[in-house]
Amino acid sequence: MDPNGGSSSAGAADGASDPAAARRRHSKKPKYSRFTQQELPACKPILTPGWVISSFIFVGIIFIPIGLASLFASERVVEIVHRYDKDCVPASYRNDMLAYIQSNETNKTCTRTFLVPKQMKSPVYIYYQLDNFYQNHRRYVKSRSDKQLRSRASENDTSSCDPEDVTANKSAIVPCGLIAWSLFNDTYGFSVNNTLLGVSKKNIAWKSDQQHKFGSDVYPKNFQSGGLIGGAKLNSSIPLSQQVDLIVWMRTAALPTFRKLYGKIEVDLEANSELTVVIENNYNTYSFGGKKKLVLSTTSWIGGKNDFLGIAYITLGGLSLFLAISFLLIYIIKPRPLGDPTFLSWNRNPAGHFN
Amino acid sequence: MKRYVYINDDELSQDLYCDNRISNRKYTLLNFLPKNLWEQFSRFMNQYFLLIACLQLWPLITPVNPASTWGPLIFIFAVSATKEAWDDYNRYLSDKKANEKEVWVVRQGIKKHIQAQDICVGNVVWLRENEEVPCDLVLIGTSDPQGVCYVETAALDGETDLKTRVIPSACMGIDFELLHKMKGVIECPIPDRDIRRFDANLRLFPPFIDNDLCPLTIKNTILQSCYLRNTEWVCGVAVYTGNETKLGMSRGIPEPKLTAVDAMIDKLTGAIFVFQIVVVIVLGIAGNVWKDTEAVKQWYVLYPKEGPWYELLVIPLRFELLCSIMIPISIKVSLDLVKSLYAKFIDWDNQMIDQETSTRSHATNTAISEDLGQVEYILTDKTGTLTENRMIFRRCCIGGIFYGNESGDALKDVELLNAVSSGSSDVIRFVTVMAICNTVIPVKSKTGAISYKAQSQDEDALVQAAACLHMVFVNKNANTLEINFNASIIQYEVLDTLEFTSDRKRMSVVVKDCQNGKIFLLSKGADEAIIPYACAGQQTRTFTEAVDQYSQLGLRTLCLAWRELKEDEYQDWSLMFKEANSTLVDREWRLAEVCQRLEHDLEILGVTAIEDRLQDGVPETIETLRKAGINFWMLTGDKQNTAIQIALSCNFISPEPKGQLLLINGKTEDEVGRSLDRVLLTMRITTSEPKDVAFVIDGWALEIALKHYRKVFTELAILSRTALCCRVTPSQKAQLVEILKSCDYRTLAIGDGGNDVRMIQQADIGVGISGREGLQAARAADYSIGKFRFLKRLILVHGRYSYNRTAFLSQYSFYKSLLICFIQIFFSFISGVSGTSLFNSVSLMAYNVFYTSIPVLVSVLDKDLSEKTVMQHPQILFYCQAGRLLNPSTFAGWFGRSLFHAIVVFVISIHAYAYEKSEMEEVSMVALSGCIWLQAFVVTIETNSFTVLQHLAIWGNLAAFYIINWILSAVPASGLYTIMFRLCTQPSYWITMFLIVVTGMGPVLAIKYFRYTYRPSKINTLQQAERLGGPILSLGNIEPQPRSIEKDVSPLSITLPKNRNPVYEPLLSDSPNSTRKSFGSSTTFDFFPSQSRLSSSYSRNCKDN
Repeated sequence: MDPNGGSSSAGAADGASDPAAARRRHSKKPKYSRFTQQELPACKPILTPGWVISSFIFVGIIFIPIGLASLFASERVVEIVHRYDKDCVPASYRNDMLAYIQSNETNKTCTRTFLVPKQMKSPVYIYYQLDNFYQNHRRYVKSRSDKQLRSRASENDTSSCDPEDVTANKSAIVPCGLIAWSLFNDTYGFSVNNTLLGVSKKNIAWKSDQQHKFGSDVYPKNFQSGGLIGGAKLNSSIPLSQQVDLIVWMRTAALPTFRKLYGKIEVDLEANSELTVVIENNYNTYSFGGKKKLVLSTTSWIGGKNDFLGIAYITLGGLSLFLAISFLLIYIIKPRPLGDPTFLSWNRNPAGHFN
Repeated sequence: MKRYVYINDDELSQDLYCDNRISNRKYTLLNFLPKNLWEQFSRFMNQYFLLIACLQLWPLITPVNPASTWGPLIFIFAVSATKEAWDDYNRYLSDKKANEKEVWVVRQGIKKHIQAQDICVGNVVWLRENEEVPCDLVLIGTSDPQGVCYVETAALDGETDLKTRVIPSACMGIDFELLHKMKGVIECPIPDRDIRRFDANLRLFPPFIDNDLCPLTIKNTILQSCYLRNTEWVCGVAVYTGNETKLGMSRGIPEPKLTAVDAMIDKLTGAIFVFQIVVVIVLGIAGNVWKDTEAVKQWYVLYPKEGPWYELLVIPLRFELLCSIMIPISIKVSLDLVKSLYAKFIDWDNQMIDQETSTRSHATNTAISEDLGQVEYILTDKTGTLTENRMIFRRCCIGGIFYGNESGDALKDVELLNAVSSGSSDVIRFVTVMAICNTVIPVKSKTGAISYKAQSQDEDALVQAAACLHMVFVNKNANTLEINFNASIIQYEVLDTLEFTSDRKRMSVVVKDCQNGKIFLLSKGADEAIIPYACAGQQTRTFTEAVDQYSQLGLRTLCLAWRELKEDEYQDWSLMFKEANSTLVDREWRLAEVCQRLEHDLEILGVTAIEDRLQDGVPETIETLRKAGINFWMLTGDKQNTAIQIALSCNFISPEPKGQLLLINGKTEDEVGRSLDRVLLTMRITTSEPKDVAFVIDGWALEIALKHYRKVFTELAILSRTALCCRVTPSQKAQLVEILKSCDYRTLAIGDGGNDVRMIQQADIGVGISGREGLQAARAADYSIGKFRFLKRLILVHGRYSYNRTAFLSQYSFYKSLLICFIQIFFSFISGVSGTSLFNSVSLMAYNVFYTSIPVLVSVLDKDLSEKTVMQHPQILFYCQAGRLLNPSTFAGWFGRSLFHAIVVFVISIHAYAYEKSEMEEVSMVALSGCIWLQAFVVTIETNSFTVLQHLAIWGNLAAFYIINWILSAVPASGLYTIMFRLCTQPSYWITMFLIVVTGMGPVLAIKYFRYTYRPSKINTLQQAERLGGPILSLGNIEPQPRSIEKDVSPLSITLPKNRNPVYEPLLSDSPNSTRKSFGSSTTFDFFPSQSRLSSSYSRNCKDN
């Protein structure tokens, strides 16, 4: 890592073949080494046409199959995206959706039905997708206390949770902070062809989070008890490490459009079967014009449905092949000898006035 | 202001003056921290970083943990503070060693052994042979019966010969035992740094008989850090102690020099700073607008309705902190590190060892190696720099007869040998003057061989030559000289020595022939200091001719003269001389005046010609460096013709039709003015021609030109690629450097003697030749080399590589900082312009300090072209000189590259990791690893030669990145827990990395290839030629040209003396004759030549008058 440190070993290795060994008699002179003389053997590649063109061809040849494979994998993924935020608001409230969602009296239950386009092999992942929701906002993303989540001892460690840190009578909120406070609280119930489907919440949160980030002895306390109710309430008899929805939610998203895992359906969904979803539409995205979508998706080796990588790879592969061919053509049409000393202006102008 | 030193008076002077404690320390234990911190914070960059670090302590605005700035900041401060502390500690140790050395001092009349630091002013100090002198002493006694002792002053002025020091006449003959009890007062000036001057008086108190005022000179002192040699013991009175000694006063820390590269980096830093402020303001406003329009709707952010008063500032300040990494904190450390390595490479270079004396090159100033590659002007001294400063007596002219013209060696000239053996009186006198008119000390070794210790190489040459002519100077005993001439011993008593000064330009001795009691004045000196004082009636024409002829051969001439003095004339003069010798004020001037009274009506005996051979490889070095586009100026104290000849023989100027010399002369303001205008006119016309035009100016005209025509002269300096300045003083040398520097040229001054020190210190780069004139220049210089020819390697290899490497390293540092900063900026657009950092604190800190610094540090091993190619094509240096590799436009390229790469990394990361994968930590690590991958490939593509170390650093660093992050991912408490393991098991992560690398590097490679092949720079062409193994032919291949003055100039010498003009025509054409020829057809230029012809003829007339 340190050039000096590296040198000593290199110097010692080269010392044996030292042609100037005789000079070492002089005590004043430091030991001759290839490092000190800046003579370490070096490979000096240059950009020859052959090298450059073949590397572009190579990239093209490698990229297009990878791109195709990714695209293929992405295409194999069956994905149902269903936006329900608007449709789940009764017609009478369409003009004032905010009032509908904030009211305690309104019936938030909403039933949506759609067809499964292709067979979906289990497990089918259920996501909810929020648009225009800034989980990465600085004020939001910082408003949490990892220490408090981890252990009961630091229950009062809420300094970073402002403004949802303590209740009016100064007792700590567990879990504190805006992230936990705004926990997503829509719920979904699925039935296919009128048979109820079980939604498994098993393993939807990262195991590492459950084991190390959220304490098994930390129980919700004073949560959503203030005047302002944010999102979901938590069962205060279940320790945080078992509150998988919270754990998933607490993994903040880097983008304003994101999906979070809601659960898994452990059976295959046949093509053209009718899927009915009963949605408890509680979560307020109406105030800021955010969208809510329900996403059911299978998975592949590359993850969910995402054409980006495949398309990018194919485009890039095509471009590099194109570049390679154009370089090749230019090279054939207008060959240019490399390292022709006549290019050196001082050779053309022997007087030595070099500009 | 004077200082009165009372000898052996323990009470009086003890508290008046400082003790002899030497302290070179900058700090003490207590003030180290505040003083060092103060020094470090006086730099703008550090103030900036401190401000950023302080802002980060405010949790409301800090995007990351304050540690990400404090960590590197403290680290950087600690590194430089440690370095300072270590240096200071070493200084302390060496001081301590000197301070605690035991010396013998008389206290209360008894000799005591005390530590050197306890010596007080007025103490009598005893020294033995080979001991170091602890403070400045005035001698009062030595073991030598004649009162002489020898000292080596190498530590003081670098001169290695032994110098004689004598005790003052008043102390002569005082008994050894009585020295303890001696009382008296020394009246001396307050401490100064002049090591050649000590104008003081000594008065001894009774019972010591001599109650007269006795003058003291530097000859009566031994100065601190000298060594006593060849003398059993001496004792002296301490006059200056501790840091007030001559050595202590001249110590000082020189001003740090700033390289052009540093200045450019500072400028770019400033530009980036402005850019950063703009970004902060724009994003700050955008952030506040977004907050007021959007964020209020987002209930989950829970913005309070009413914010505190500083509410508006919070977001801009957050962005300021987020963008603060734009200016890389590591750049200073990296640069300091690589710069010290450049310096080490110079120290280590085996090809720059002077094999004769086995002295290595040494970089005293480790910070300015890049400037070596950007040198535009080299100002060089002649004697000892271009020449070997090894004087050999070659020819002489005695009484109108030339000796040595045929064979080129007067010592082998049969006629001269015959003349000596036949006892021709002129010749005998001439040889006698050669042998004894000097300050040489003969030292007889045990085998009987005599060697000479001379302060001047010329004197050494003359004495050696005299010895060859059977006039052997065998012994010098106080005032008696012994000469062995043809086996008979002749004794002379030296009555007075009228020493050489650069103003008088001559030295004389007054001697008494012990056989017949006759008194003679023997003089030798420069022709203009001797010939005008010839006695009336003596024909001096032949001597003038001889001087001219010799100087055209590039030989150094000295005129020898003598006069017999009458006893009473001498006695009268002697009194005046003694009086002048004891004046305290203007002693040098008074002495010169008195000497003048004796040195007249001289009978000129002849002229000696001494050859100072060119050093090996000087012509080739100059030719190579001129091809590299470096302009040469020669500044010498020698006379014009000698300078021109040397210049010719070392390729400095080209002979006629190719070159043209323009003379600037004149004794008055008007003459010089006209001369300047004429030369300037010619210069302007000829600049378009492929012709080497040089101007020649002498010290006198230069003085006038600098005083009255500074502007014109400056213009001339810009136009002229070559100049010869003769007869210039040290301060004029420095002024010339100043003029070139004021025109923004990078200057390098090279010299070897004390007279070059000012020039060396003034220039951007000072190079000292550790040669025979001592180490004075080498000590003052930034670089010291053994031989002039190493300059080629120093500039073309070390300077060029240093520049290239620093150019890459500095721009790369900005590139990588901008890269990560741009990503942060882009991320802020998708995070509600709220100033969220995409990267976590640990990554940000490690990114600058570890991940990206190490690969670039090994770029100190990069070589774009092999040393051999550079030497063959020195023109390639132009890229460095013109700053082609580091300037705003190359920087714009790097800026664009970082913007492009930031877009690539950001867009690919957020698209590949969208939807369910858009977990903050994961996206952050994907983007970060994308940056790391890209920077590894950027270093790879910008590296020209890969050694093992480079591969190790680049790929090892990449591996280290993963290892460090895996370790972090294994710690449950870290925010990164399991993230890296998750990512590395996903195929999509690796696919994304691959995509980022190819998208980022593809266009870079394509553009680079296209330019490399179809728009190659000269460097590229040479790289291709070199690597493809083809013939790297340059039409102007430089073959070694073994030259010596003898070979080239000998033919001239026979023809020349006959038809000589006042101006040496073939070279010095006063009017631009040849220029006119080429412009003959064009009438537009007619005006200029006719005018210049007029003025030239006019000036010639003036000269004839």
